[in-house]
Amino acid sequence: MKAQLLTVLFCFAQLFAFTQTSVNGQVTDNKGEPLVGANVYLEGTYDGASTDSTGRFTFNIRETSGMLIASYLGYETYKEPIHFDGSSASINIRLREELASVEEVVITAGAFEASDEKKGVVLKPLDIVTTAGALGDINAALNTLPGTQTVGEEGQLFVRGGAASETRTFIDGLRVQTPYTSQVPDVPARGRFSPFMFKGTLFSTGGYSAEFGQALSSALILNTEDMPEKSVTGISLMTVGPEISHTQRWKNTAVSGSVGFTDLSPYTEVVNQWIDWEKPVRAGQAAISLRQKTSETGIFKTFVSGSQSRMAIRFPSLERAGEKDFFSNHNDNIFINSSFTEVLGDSWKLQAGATYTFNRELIEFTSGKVDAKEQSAQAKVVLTRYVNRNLTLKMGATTIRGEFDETFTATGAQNSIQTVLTEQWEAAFAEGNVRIAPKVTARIGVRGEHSSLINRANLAPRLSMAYQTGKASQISMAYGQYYQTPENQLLRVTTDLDFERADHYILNYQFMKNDRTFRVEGYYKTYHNLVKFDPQEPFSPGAYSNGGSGYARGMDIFWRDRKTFDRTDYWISYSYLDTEREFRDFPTAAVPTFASAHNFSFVGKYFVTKWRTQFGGTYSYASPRPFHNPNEPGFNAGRTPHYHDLSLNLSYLTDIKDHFTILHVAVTNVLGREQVFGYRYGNTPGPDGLFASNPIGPPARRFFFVGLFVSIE
Amino acid sequence: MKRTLISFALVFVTTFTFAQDDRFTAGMKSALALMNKAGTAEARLQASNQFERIANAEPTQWLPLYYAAHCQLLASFMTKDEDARDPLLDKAQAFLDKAKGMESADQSEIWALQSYIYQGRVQVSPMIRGMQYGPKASEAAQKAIALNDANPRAHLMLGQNTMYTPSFFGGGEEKACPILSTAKEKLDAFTPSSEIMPSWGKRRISALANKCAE
Repeated sequence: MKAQLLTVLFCFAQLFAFTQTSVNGQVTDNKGEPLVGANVYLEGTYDGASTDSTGRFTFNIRETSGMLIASYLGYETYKEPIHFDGSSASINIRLREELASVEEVVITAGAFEASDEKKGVVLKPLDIVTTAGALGDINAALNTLPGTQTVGEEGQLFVRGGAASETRTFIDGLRVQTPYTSQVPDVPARGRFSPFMFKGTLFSTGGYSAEFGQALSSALILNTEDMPEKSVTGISLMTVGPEISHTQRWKNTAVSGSVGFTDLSPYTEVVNQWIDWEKPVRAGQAAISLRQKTSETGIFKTFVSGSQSRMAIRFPSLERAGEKDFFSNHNDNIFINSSFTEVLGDSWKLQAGATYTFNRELIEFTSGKVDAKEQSAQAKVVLTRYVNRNLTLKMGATTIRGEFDETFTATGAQNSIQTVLTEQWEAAFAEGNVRIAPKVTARIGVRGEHSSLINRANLAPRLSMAYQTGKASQISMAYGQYYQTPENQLLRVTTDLDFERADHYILNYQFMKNDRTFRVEGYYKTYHNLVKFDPQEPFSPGAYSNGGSGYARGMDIFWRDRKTFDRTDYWISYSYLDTEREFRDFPTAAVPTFASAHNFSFVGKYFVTKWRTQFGGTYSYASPRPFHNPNEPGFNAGRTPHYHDLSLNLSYLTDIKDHFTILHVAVTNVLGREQVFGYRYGNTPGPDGLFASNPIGPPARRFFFVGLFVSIE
Repeated sequence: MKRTLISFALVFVTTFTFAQDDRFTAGMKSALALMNKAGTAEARLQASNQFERIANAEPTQWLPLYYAAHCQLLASFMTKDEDARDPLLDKAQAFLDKAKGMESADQSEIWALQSYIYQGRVQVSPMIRGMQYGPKASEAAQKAIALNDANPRAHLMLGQNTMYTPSFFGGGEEKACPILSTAKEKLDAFTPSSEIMPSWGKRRISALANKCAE
């Protein structure tokens, strides 16, 4: 019996004294560098270990076979079946760096992105709002980035030697027909949209995707906010006028509305103006937006805005000494933008959208009256297919119907001249995001367009690539052909014109780590088929041709640092531009008036916690720009003085009766530098044989802004 | 003798099955010990690794996922590599999301930790993230309280988030301190249902309460 008991005991002991195998080894990355803290274990058991400071691990296992797993953040998980037959096993494991799916790889050539959601972007949406000198205008804030030229009298984006019309704005993928307020001489335009509307901004200074077209130089792609966090009422009291807004949030629905009124009269009474206002700007604007979640992944958004503005200014006449010329503008604008996004199945995404724009400019000036009405409607559908982590396909089609109806009546004339242009335009594109090697991503696309107005079609290839040189750095390049229909100003004389074209070649290096970003980008752009005409015969169709051409080349440098100095954020931009073109009324190839060779800006922000105040400063410099002086030989041979501007702002964060409140104070051109953007010359010489001139400058030496913004939840 | 043998065998068998059951508790305890003595981000991640292994072997248990998320979160506070913070928080969120879907999970504890993760997001860049994640952290903590008012960690999270929210956003010490004293009361009255259930928060509460006392 005793023996029996012993046997049983022995059996049990056997049961407990499992054959243990000691597993050891090392976990390294592709290059053989040890990975510290990797998790190595046998699937389904507790047996495992973390690797030590040399990447080594050792642990005992009771099973003789199973799945060995090694995982490490940022690396692909290793999973291999193993079988042990000895008392120890040695295994060396190499982990491959996890590749982001192609959708997440941002090709940085030509692209500046601001987003809260995406990683690896250069800016956050809030950075745009708080940039000194921008006064809450998206375009003005983007003007502190390299690749842009300071053109103070226009207030629009001029990119890499391109005219303002060569930059196109898109909201939720749809083209914005009238992104800026009315063009009035010497009064810089502002963007029509508040930066707070957008969750993401992609500013492309060239080489952008085949999804977008009709812009020779640049695309500004804005994506509106999805669902607002909560219901809130906003009251803004500003030196330019008040605004009130309210957002109501339900579970799957949100409705927002705002009404604002702008009147510069009180301001122009207090602050000495250089511009001679007959009627300072008065404007009213209202907007309503609806957002509806249609499912877990679907959202429908619609935005309707209407605005009306009027202003009148006087200038000393260049033709009749001592007299005044006048210019007045009355603008009505309606803009509707709707979009729908939904994920279909597990690999398709549908985006559809439509817009409608109505814009009327009623302009009266000394020599006549213009009544220009423009209407346009666009529809667009885009399908995205995620084939796998290495391939995403995107394709879409869009159509625009536009009507431009302009009547010009010369002062004292009986008859008017009417121009009606009707455009029916279609475009389609296809684009693939492909990983061609572990660290090489390419975006290959093609876009075709047809315009019935000029009865021409085009086909534009696009290609960009990124090579990840390290975890924090990449080299990228972009090439593409970009077509644009000539402007209405030209088409009203003749529609027998072809698309204008630009070819972009871009090479970019970017390094981004620990809140520091460095990028340098070289580019070369050639212009083809630019419309030119004989300045002697501006109304003769035969004087127009696509015989113009040009080039722009240069280098952009950007450095941003949010790390080195506590609570301080600053960025530095420098752009070098070398450009000449022969277009419009240019008799010869010349540097256009909107191009300056050197542009520099420094943007700094510093938060003082104790005072709950953010201080901001922006210094901008632009080297002399050309202007044409008819009293001197040569074309565009004059040069303006150097441009300097130092703008400051501060935002004081406080509360009024527990309601979050911001007091914002801003001033431009603090140092009071003389800013001359060019000169305006008379059309006919005076009695002395010389053309009289006036300098073009800002409306006042400085612009002051004080605003109080209260949020009531 | 036969009887002895049977009882002997019985003892062995029960020990064995008991050991099987208790393998979980023992594994959790050893991982918790590792977590509690961890003083660096690396040590926290080692503890997280151990929880992850247990989670892998015990697909119905929410606790290892909960603690793995907690370790990742604490590592994000301690790491010196600032670019690593968001990926650590992403991993914490992934563990927590997995735990959230489990029937056995204590949802009040889950949402308290969710609030903490949102606060971790704010810490990455308070100026930029505050407005986005601050209100989310507050909502999550309020949800945790609604699910179980006796959970001291739910109150702690609400108090902590309120304390670090600027006064003009409705935060500040004045508002946070009463919440934290509630948290302390709840903690004193709280007994975890087992040794491995969440019981942390004492040190955090007293550190914040000291600020209130100042």
